[in-house]
Amino acid sequence: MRIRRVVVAIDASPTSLAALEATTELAARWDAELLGIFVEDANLLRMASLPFAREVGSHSGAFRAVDPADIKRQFRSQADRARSALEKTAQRLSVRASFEVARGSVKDELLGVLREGDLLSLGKGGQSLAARLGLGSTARAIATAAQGCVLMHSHVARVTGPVTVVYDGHRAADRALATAVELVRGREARLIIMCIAATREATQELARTASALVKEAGVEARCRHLTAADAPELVQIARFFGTNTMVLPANSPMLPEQVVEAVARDFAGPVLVVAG
Amino acid sequence: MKELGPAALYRRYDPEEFDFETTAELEDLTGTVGQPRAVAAVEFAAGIAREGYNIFALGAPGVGKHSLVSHYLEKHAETRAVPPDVCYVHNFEEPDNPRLLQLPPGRGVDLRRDTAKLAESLRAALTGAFESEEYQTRRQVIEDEFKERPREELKDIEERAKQEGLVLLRSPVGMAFAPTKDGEVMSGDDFRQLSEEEQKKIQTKVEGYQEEAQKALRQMPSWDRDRHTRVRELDREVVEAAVAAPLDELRQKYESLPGVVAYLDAVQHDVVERARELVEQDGASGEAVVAVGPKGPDRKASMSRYHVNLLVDNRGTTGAPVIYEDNPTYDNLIGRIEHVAQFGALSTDFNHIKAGSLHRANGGYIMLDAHKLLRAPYAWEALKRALQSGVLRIESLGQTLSMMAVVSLEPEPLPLNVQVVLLGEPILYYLLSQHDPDFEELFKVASDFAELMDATPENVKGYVRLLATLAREDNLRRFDRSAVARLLEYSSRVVGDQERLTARIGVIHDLLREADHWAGVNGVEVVKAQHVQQAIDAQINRADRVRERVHEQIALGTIMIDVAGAKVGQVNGLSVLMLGNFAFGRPSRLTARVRLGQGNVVDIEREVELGGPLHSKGVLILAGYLGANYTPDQPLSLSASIVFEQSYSGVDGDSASAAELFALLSAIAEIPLKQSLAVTGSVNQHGEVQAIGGVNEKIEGFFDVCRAKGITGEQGVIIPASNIRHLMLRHDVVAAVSSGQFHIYPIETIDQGLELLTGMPTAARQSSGEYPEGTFNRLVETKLLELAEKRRAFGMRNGADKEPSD
Repeated sequence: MRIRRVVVAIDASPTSLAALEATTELAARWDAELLGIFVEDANLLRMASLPFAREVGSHSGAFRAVDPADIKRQFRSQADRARSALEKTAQRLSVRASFEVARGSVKDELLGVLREGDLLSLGKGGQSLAARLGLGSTARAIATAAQGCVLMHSHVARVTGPVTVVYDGHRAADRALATAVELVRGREARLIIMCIAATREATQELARTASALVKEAGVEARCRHLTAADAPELVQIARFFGTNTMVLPANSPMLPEQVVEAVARDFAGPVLVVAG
Repeated sequence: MKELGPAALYRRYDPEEFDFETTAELEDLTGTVGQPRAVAAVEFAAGIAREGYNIFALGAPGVGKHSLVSHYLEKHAETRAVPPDVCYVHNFEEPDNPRLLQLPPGRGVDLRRDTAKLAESLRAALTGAFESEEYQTRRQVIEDEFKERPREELKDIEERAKQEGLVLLRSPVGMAFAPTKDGEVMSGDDFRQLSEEEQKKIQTKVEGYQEEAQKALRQMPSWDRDRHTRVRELDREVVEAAVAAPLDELRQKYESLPGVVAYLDAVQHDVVERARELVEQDGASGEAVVAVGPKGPDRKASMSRYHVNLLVDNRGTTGAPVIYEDNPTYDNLIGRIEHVAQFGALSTDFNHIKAGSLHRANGGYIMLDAHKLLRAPYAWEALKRALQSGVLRIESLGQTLSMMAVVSLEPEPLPLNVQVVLLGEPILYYLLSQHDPDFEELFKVASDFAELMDATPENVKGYVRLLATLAREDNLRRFDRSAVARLLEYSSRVVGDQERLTARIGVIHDLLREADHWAGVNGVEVVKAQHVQQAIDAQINRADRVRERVHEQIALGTIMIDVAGAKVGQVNGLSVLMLGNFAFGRPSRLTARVRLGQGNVVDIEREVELGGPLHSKGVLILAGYLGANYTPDQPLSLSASIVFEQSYSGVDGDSASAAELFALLSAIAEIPLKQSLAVTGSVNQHGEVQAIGGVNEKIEGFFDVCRAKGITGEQGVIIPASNIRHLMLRHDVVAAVSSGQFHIYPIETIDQGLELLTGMPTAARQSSGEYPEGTFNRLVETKLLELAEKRRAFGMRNGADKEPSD
């Protein structure tokens, strides 16, 4: 599947900046355009306008009174830092890049800018955007709504080494497999395909199909057979093969939301959710 | 007076008496020759081997101190046990005080190899343990459990808040609760439109949840601590299991060495405690990276801490060590601690401890040159401190002097059991004895090397074997017996004694090499007497430019020396000039003048401070002789002056006192002295002539001058009879004596010398108390009595109470 544009949602957090670097590399690899977007969360502004508004420090646990002006200042400063980081990275890696600031509901604003075939890059874990929005659901919703993919990353943002992809034969899975192939192609990295179907026979059939698809692309792959999608098992297998990137199909009947959620949370490396 | 025949002038060694043709037939000398006193001292000290019984071997350079001492020490060392190997290992409790391990000889190198392997296998074991499925899973379980906890806590709060129409918002720096309206956060305006009661209610709810959230967040550090403890426990359990096998194996191997077993226990404890530091685990990739390099400025543990630094390896050693440290600096003696520069700072650890020669000599002997030792800054002090304290403590000089401020170590001191032999010149021994109060306590044994030895048949035999040994060691040509005889004669000449040989083997060793060279130049395979002679002549030739100049000036008359005729108050004295190692004789004209005076003999040399104390002493003795011998009952009423003519530098020694007396007596008696004879010898107050030094050089010096000015057949030298045994004259001088061209007269008394120089009889006082008529002594006595009479008359003329003034 051809990625035309990479949209990266940036705040100024360290994970977000690490993700920016890795995402820009992907954009360079695919010769895609890069759009940096900073969303000023309207909910936070509204909360700050409440007369008793105060926040609890996430480490100190201390109370702080906030007002909309505070929040706006925070937004401005974050947006400036995000813009400057994006420009520097894009220039260094020679990627065409633009930057936008939006205000509103984060999900809506992101959906608003996404077009078909876009890849959206989000931070996950901790206080990241994806974590705040709910990992699995957001990724699935956005990916589905935009007919694109969502890449979620923690502090390990760079896509290196082998890639694991979950394949169940549905449309989204075909696209996920194609995207995974794009991720390993040209890097001489291995592709691990986890074939999930209700029966053993069905998984073998899936493996044959997947192998054929992959063979066309000239990528080396290994198949594993699973009769149910269990998040810890998926993570463990991926770790066993030393993969650092996981590719999951969105809205696949074999991959419920909570499994996507758990994999996104527990897998240390980047997780890419691809819509069908 | 009887002159000496040629046989008395030279001790000749007859080659025919040797029972060999060339030195190739002789066996190597085992042991030494001619130093029984020094050998006894070394053997005594090596045998007693108690604290303070260190040796100072004193002797002139080249007497063979080094080879003799090392020979005897090696002999003793063979019978002693091989000392243990010495290692330093990391001290896990006090990293700045590395621990000492002493192991049976040869085990040190084993342990070093085994611990290096151990470090390797620990690295693999730790990496394996941390990467194992078991560890990863159990670790993940702990991480997950603690990761879930705050989430669960907050999720619960969030759920309950949601039930009550509130939403939890996460901002970049924290979290907040807000009421919702139509699924959106309620704005301030909407909120204000609510009734006061409702506003109050919402605010109370929000504040309640905020406090709950705060409580949950404040628990996080303690959860983190719990998590940390659980992970540590897991680490410990896994690491203990992983490292037990390689360590058990080693413990078994070294079970007979409790020190090593204790060290291995400490290693195990440390590995378990520091496994995390040793394996820097990259959480995301699961890759384990083991720190292997030297520790950085943060002193992070690395695998090199489990190595063993083997300082002294006695594997394959037999007996106790005998070490000669030829550069005894502070560091070379007691060892040093090196530093490595890392990130701009100097750091070190026990692996950088370097052994000194005292470490290597421990349990045996160490030989040091006293002069070098004393010249190296602080080395002597350090050696004394080590000997006094009985332990060897490695401290950098900077540390000792409190001058350096880098991180350094204080390794556990090594118990020291070493016998030190200092080699040096006697003057150093006497200076140290006098000025260093510790010296006598620490160096109780002096091994005194003689500079010469008696030429007994036994010593000669040993000496010859020594020559053969030296020649072989240096890969020199064979020396035939004529060459050996010449070498022995030269050795006697060096010490100036027919009955002795020089113990300064260095001098003879040089001559051996040079004679070998000349034999080579002449293209022969066996060194003969002529080559030895060639070497001697070449040595002299290289050194005698000044002698030639002096003799040339005498021949030209610039320096006035008469070698024929007779003069009143003038005699040829003889002196020796030393230039470096080369000595030669030079005749000097000595003159004396007398006049009426009050009995003082003026030594002009002393008056102008050119004469040394011994010279002045000689002059005063002859004044004593003069008065007591000739005018015991009268005041000595003359004033005499004595001078070395044409002497422009200092004169010392009393060997010219006999000559001075002859000149003085000649001046008093106004009887001329033969200028064909030169005189050497000192005199005492009784007129006995005493031995002097440098007799050979003096005779040869006068002979050379006579030859230059023309040999008359009358010329010769008067020497003290007690110097006869010291004669080892040049062959040309001996030949001249044989043919009657030159004469050597030994005398015992001044009277004998006077008879030779004046041709007049002397004779002793008669029973009447007078000297017989017609004798030289009678003339002197008469002259002195005349002077006394004149002085009395002079005194009467000028008033009885007045002394005649000069």
